[in-house]
Amino acid sequence: MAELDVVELSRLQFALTALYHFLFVPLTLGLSVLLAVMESVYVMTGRAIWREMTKFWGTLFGINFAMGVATGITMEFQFGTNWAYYSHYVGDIFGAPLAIEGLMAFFLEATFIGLFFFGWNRLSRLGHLVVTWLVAIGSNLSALWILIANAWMQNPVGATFNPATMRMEVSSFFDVLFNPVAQAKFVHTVSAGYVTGAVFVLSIGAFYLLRGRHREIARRSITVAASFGLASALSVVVLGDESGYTAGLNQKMKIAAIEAMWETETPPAGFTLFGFPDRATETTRFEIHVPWVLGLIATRSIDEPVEGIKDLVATAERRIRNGLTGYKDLERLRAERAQAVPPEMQEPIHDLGYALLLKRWRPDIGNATDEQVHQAALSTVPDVSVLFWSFRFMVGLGFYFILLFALAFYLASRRELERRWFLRLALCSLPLPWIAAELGWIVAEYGRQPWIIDGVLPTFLGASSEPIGDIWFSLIGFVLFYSTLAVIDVYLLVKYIGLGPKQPAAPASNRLAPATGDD
Amino acid sequence: MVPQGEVSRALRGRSLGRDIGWALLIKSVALVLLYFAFFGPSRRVEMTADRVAGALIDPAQHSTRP
Repeated sequence: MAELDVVELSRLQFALTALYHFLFVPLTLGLSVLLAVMESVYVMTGRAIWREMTKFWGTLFGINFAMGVATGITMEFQFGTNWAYYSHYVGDIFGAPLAIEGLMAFFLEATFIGLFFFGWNRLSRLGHLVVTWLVAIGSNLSALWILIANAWMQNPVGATFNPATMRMEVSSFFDVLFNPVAQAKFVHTVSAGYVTGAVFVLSIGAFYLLRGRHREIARRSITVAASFGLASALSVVVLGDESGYTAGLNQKMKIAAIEAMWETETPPAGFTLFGFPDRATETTRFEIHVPWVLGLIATRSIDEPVEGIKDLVATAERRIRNGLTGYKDLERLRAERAQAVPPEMQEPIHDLGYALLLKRWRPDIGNATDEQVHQAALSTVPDVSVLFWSFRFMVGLGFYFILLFALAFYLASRRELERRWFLRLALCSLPLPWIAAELGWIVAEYGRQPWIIDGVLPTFLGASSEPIGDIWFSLIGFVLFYSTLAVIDVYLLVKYIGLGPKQPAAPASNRLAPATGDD
Repeated sequence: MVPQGEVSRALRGRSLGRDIGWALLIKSVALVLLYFAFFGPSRRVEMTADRVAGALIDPAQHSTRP
């Protein structure tokens, strides 16, 4: 077991790299599909202005892709050094989706991005459109495989523990692949990426209209962003609800913490719209409680309870005691060099992870006191305030995007896009989807604590014992690296947004149809 | 004679290629340096089933630090 400060620093390093990486990802996901939509319009209508739009937004997509590509690889660096126990324990399951992502999705994406940029004058219209759609599909498939890996950490299905190898091993790849958490997470995450892409196009389009530049392209871009963004923003909320529902089935403590729900209420449970959770007193001060809503959302019923934190702690305490039996069984299996867990030991060994929480208090956990078992059970409660507020800001932003895109859609349909108050609002909204996405990851990952694999392996047991100085230096190195990339990314985006779409070629070339604003 | 618009397109495309090329080069160098400085093969922690068992179920084991 690593020292706790080493664990905290390793966690900080991983969190920072993941959050930095996810600054680039949603824009790639969203813009790739928007490019495909714009180019589809070009191929269907033959109007050259849609080709120029695709090329312009493609330039910005290319900059973001180039800056973002391989920024996620630093997380894989850390698996072998900072998280060696975790890597050994779950590598058999976790490695496959990551490898498939690299071999299939990323190469598909990267190859077709090359064809997208260099194929404009070498491929037929239809051929190039197919390439653009393949870029979008490749980007989305990349996200799928990564989210399958992540979802397994939230809901570890399709795997069994092997006492001989001391690792979780795949028992059903089908179950890993079709993990309900993965499916819900994938559609929610890519929809959030589409919203990011749509807000980006909307904001930059608004910037051009405010400056009176590139008006034809800006108007069309805003119209596409408004309709695509409205559909995506509605999807984010609906699919986010589905994501919450699957979490309610598998990660009850996460849901209880997000809702600051200390006690189990008589069903259907109410939803706390606002309040200040207080962990010390296990109450929520100045609470605004809306009856029924949480029960309906979390259980899709009016008679199923949503368990509160105190009851879930009591359940954790029972599972710790059960896991202690599993712990003794495992010692015996190791001594006998058993290759599999016998059926009668499956159930207690299933709770082994809960018993391992006690390692934080004593190495010989078989001798843990009642007080230590209770402390370990209490440690299954994540930071309620952080989750409560992160979730509410994220959801608030989600509803804001629906209103923003609905407004944009309404104004676009009435040909009244050039209202300055709306254009300013759209421009100021530019950073919001990134904030919402990062808050979403904080809810997902911070809400899983104290587990690195939910219910299976505590986070502090997944970390290795790297020298603390090394982690500090590599952490500083990562911050410098990612900050430099972010600065270059913003610099290049600002530079090419400033240059704007290319001016139409000479009319004689007949490559640009007259832009009437009615296309 | 090449039209003015075509010249502008070519110049801008070349400038974008150069900008992205430099950024990718800087990024690749930084990633390689970070990898070998902190995460290279010599830094990797070798794991075996016994070592994991030691960390998880050995009652005497308080730390896995080598």
